[in-house]
This record gives sequence, structure tokens and C-alpha cells, in this order.
Amino acid sequence: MVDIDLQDLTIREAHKALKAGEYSVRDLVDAYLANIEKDNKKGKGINAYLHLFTDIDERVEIAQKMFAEGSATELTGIPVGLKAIIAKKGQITNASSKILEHYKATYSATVVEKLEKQGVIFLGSTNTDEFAMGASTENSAFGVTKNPVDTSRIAGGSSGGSVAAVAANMCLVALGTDTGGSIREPASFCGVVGMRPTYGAVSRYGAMPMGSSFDQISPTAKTVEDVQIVFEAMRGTDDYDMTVLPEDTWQKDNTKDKYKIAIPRSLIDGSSDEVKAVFNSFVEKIRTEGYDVEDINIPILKEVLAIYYILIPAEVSSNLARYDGMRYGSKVDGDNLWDTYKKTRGQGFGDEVKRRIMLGTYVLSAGYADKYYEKALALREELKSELAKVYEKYDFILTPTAPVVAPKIGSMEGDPLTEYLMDIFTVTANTAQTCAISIPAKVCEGKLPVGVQFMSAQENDDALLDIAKKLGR
Amino acid sequence: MSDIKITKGQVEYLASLAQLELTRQEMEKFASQLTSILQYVNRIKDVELSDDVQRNFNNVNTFRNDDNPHKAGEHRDAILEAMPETKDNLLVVKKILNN
Repeated sequence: MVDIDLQDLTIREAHKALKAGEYSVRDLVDAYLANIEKDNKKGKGINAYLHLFTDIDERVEIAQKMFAEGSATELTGIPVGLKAIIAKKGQITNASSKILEHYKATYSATVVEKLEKQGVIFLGSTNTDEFAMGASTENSAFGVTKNPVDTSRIAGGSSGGSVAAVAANMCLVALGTDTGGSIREPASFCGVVGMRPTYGAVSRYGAMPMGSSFDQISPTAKTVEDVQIVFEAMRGTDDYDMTVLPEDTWQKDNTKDKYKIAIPRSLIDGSSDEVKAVFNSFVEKIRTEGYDVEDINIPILKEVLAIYYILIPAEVSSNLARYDGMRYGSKVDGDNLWDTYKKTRGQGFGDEVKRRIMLGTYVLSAGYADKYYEKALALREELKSELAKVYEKYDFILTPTAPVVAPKIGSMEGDPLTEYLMDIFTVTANTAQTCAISIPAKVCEGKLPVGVQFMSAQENDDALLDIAKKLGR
Repeated sequence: MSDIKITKGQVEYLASLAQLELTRQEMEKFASQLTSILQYVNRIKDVELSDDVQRNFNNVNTFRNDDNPHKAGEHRDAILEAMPETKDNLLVVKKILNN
């Protein structure tokens, strides 16, 4: 086997080597598969992948042929992890849920088709909190994903499998989804990059819906450049997702030579001392590099978590009504139709999914809808308008990505609210349907990773990637 | 804020609305967990709405245009294959009416 240094490999370097024939697509894929064999179920037991796909050999041949014919792109032959929420035709796509344990997708997500057209090799289905509900992967029906930096800790979630696979050299880049921080928070915990694009930048067709007005397919990688390459390849309109923004939106250039950055200081005060220390030295560092950074007060930000955890369960309760054991998935027989539904869903869903379905049912029910759901919807509009004012004056809002470093496995058991509170900084971008990115702060070595988050206005994704590239790797 | 309390009976009712069969133990656990979550999110009741925010909630059609249908039967086999129980290319469901 050819010896390839995967630790610092980027898409462009791999492409150069593949093109020059330094190694083949087979060699590259085998190098990643060897790491999966060594540490996924065995060895360190990272549990980033639930299972590998059955068409890898076929895809390797197609990619190698693209190189031979001269039709290869930068992404041809690149090994990618795919969150178990995103459908790949003919492959088990189970959302880490017992209710879909053996479900084979009947079609591929638009992003999967787009990337496979470029010769990407999807290696396998990556672990997630069940139906992407959680911030730890502890809500997966198939075990937690361990943090490759410290295996006694969680990788974060919900896209913990995708992010851990990147961090543990089990793929070069990976796709996740981000509904409330699900790509950024694990990226922060595992020391890699995670970007949540503007809502409507990327087609959601084929991604199992959790909160349809919040969800977005999101890339993770070790470098901002790699994240950008994947993002560019995924975005664009799709006949199957009418919420995708029109192409001309992306023709504008929002990048600038000099950016203004706002810090909502009072919101950050509740973070752990460790996170605050890293965040403050990061801010100090960019200040000395000449960035224009200002502390501001955005009062509504402290309400967003509550708004989010009303609207999300509401959308969850209707989106998950489709899992009834009739048309697909697992079925548990009962005495009659209603009993079959109840048993199928009662035994097929895990605790967090059940909690959110019931919370959603509560906040939408007669007598409570005005107090919770309608009020939260109105506040969501208020948040959007407050942020629009901030983004008139500042290009970015900067916060830590999460208020803590990766918690120990099991430390949040039975305490869902504590897990929700880890989303305090990330839910804002989803609720306002804007874009955000987490990059490793990298100010002190040897400690657990801490990510910093840049948020920006809708459709400002290019400026977001630009500053992340200047400040990250 | 602390006036919200979800009882075991309410959990049972919510579960029946949502078609979920729960065990006694689950009902007890969820009652206290849902209580603490609702006590937290209830903070929005104290937030005042400003008058100048438009509340149209962006109601636009987010469904695919109803045109260009695929060929009839094109996806039939794949869909049938995903069904837990079929008979003669039909989906088998439980009886809806009790005797």
C-alpha cells in the first residue's frame, strides 16, 4: 500500500497527486478505509461510521476512468463521509433511528447526485443524533461517536459522525446537516472547520427533514478552502426544492479588504472560563492584526434559544408524522391501525425524538399555540429585523461556537435542557436563516479544541469564507 | 415562570395525540423533563414585540411546481420494495374500524 500522509491532506493536494499519478484513487480510498478498519468499530472505537457503502469499488473505477479520460475535476476520487440523514440510492440511510434501521433510500439527495457526477467517493453513512436531534450523538440508536481528540468525550452533534470522521482521517471531507448548530458545534469540539450555508443556498432534497425552515446541508473539513470547494459544488437551484435561492444571488461579490466585526459581549459571559479565555485571546490576536472589533449589545440574542426550542419541536412534530410503519421503515404490529402506529412509533423512536414530538404537539395545541408558537414566530421576524440592522453596520458577529469544550460521554444523561443550552450561540443563524462558520481558535496548544463562530447576513457566504480563510487554515 | 407543570396525565394525552405508546416509566421521566424545558422556553412571554416588525411569516409556496410528471409506474417497484407488508403489489394496512 502507498503511504499517504492524510493528516494534512487537502482536496487540492490530493487532486494534484492523483493527476500526477503519485497515487491512484484506489490507493487514496484504501488509506482512509484502513483507518476506518483500525479505529471505527475496533481500536479506539470512534463509531463515526454506522456502515460503509456497498458501491465503493464501482465508484473508484468510475473516478479512475475520469482521470484517464481527462474529465476529472478537483473533487474526482475524493473520499467523503455522508451523514445518515442524507439519502443515497440503494444504500441504508437510517438517520440513526431504529424506526429506519434497515431502510434503503429509494433515491439520492440532490447533493449526492451533484457530487457523484464529479466523481466523489462516498465511503459510508456517518453517525448522528437520531433524526439530527441533539448536540452529542448520544441520542443515536447505534451508540455515541467518540471525540478523536479525547475518546472519553463526545464528538458533539448532531453531525458528530461526519466531523469525527474528518478529524480521525476516516475521510477527507464530509457532509452533515445543520439545523441549530449541528455541523459547527462538533467542528468546535473536534478542532476542524464546519460551515452552515445561508438557508436556501443548498438544496435540501433528500435530506430527511427535522425543522424544514431551519435545516441546511453543511460541509465539514480540516480547512476552510476544502469546505468552500464542497460548498461551491453543492449549491444552486433544484427543481425539487423550491426554497433554494436563485442563481443570480451568488453572482455578487460580498468580499471586502476590511471587515467590521461585532461581539455580543453579554451573551458570551455565561460561557465556561476555559472557552472565555480562548475566545478573548483570539479576539486580542485579531485586534492586533488590525481587525476592527467592537463590543455591542443585541438584547434579542438571549431569547433565541427559547424561540428555537418552540419552533423546532413544532416542525418536528409534523415532519415526523410520516414515520408510521406503513410505507417504509420498521413496523410493530398492533391490534388495529392506531395501535400499530402507536407501537411502531413508541418502540421505533428514542427519547429525544419523543420529547420533541410531544413538545411540538403541546406548543401547537389549542390554547397554547398563541402563547408559544405564534409568539415565537413573531419573535423570529423580530430577530431577523434586529440582525438586519446589525449587519448594516458590521460584516460579522463573532462568538465562541459553543459555551463549553466537549463534555465527557454520559455527563448530560437525562438532562435534555443542559444539552440544549450548548446551542446558545449557534441557533441564531438557523433561526434567522443566515450563514455561519466555526473555525478552530488555535491560540493555545495541548488543550481541548475551542471553536470560534463567525455569523453573517443572508447570502454573505463568500465574505464569511473569505474571513475564515484569512484567520483559519 | 415556575407555574408550568406537566403532569403524567398530560404526557399521556400528548402521547396519544402524537400516536406514541409510552411506558409508565417513560411518562414519569418525560413529565419532569418537559416541565423543565417548558419553564425555560416560557421566558418569551416577557419579551415585548415591537410594532414595526412585519409579521407576514413569508408565506410563499414552497412546494415544487405541479408540472412535468414522471412516467407512470416509474418508481413503483422501488416504493413497493420499501413497504414492510405488501400483497399483490398493494400496501397491506390494518383494519381501521373495530368490529
